Amino acid sequence: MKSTLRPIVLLLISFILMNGHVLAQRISFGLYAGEGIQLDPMDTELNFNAKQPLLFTTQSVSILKQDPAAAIIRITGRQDQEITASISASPKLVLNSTQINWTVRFAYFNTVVGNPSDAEIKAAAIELPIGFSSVTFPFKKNLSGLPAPPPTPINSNYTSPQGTAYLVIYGEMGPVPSDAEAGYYNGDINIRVEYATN
Amino acid sequence: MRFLRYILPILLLLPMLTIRAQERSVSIKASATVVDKTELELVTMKDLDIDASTAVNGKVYISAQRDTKSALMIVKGKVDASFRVTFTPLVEIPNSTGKGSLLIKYEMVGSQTDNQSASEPIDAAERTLKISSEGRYYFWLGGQIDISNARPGKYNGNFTIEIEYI
Repeated sequence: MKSTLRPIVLLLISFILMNGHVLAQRISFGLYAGEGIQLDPMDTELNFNAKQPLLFTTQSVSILKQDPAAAIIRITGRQDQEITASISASPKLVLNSTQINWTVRFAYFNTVVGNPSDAEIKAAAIELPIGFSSVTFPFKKNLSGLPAPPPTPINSNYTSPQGTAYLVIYGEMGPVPSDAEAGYYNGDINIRVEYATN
Repeated sequence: MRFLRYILPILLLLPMLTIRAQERSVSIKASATVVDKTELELVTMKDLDIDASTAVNGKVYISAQRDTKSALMIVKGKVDASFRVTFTPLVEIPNSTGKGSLLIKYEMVGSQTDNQSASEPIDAAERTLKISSEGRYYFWLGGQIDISNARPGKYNGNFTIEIEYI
């Protein structure tokens, strides 16, 4: 009886020790999990003053997808893969105890030909409807409309061609509360990209 | 068998180990600077100094761009901000102690720096200007003062100028 109890007690102790350290995990078992994805922010800030330099109380500002103020993130990785891009953001823009409502939106561009300009990327990027925070798309869209061929199996003699796609980040803020403190309000936008796993 | 009893809990723990997915993430800032409307301020540094003894044919002329008797006003505001300015170019100031009046036709010049001679003319119509990188804009005010209808007495008048951010 004693020898039967020992592993059970040990197991219980193990669970007790783990208490408070168990975290929800998102685990990718994708075949190409080892291939690198690179994210390069071409803009490090979504600055609403770039759209409207002087912003007063009670006013609102919208940065549209095609505006110069919209931020661009470049993604590089295996061209033959699909990727999932997710975005999350601080719920408010904050300065001390004052908060301003805002909404972040994003669009993706996966029909890259050559070296497109910022304006070309923004014009062609596909917007996600309001409320969507995640999208899966092929790294490089087949312009013929046909489905892309299956990825080349991994072997030591094969290096996948690298593809480029872009995310365009934009959004709306305001109205600024009438009693808002003057100064610099900010929040974070977190962008996560991974290979899609089906 | 005894060995298995101890290894079992360890095996159960293995799935709890962190498995890092291949993903990349970046963060960028979202920002907005809110400006207080009262941050735009107009300060009078020097009043217009009208000396009647210099009158020619009943008129005194003070050059806004060259005369040291011109008035000086400074706009203090947000760096590099654009603002709109308008002013009333013609004002009649009555004698507060009796008959007579002065008729003033104002002229104004402005500059981002405190350099009167390098300033540019500002007409009375709505005009867009820009505050300097030091948060300043300078106005000098002069004009032609008609004293032909003036009588001895006291004349106190106002110059009306309006500025606002665009």
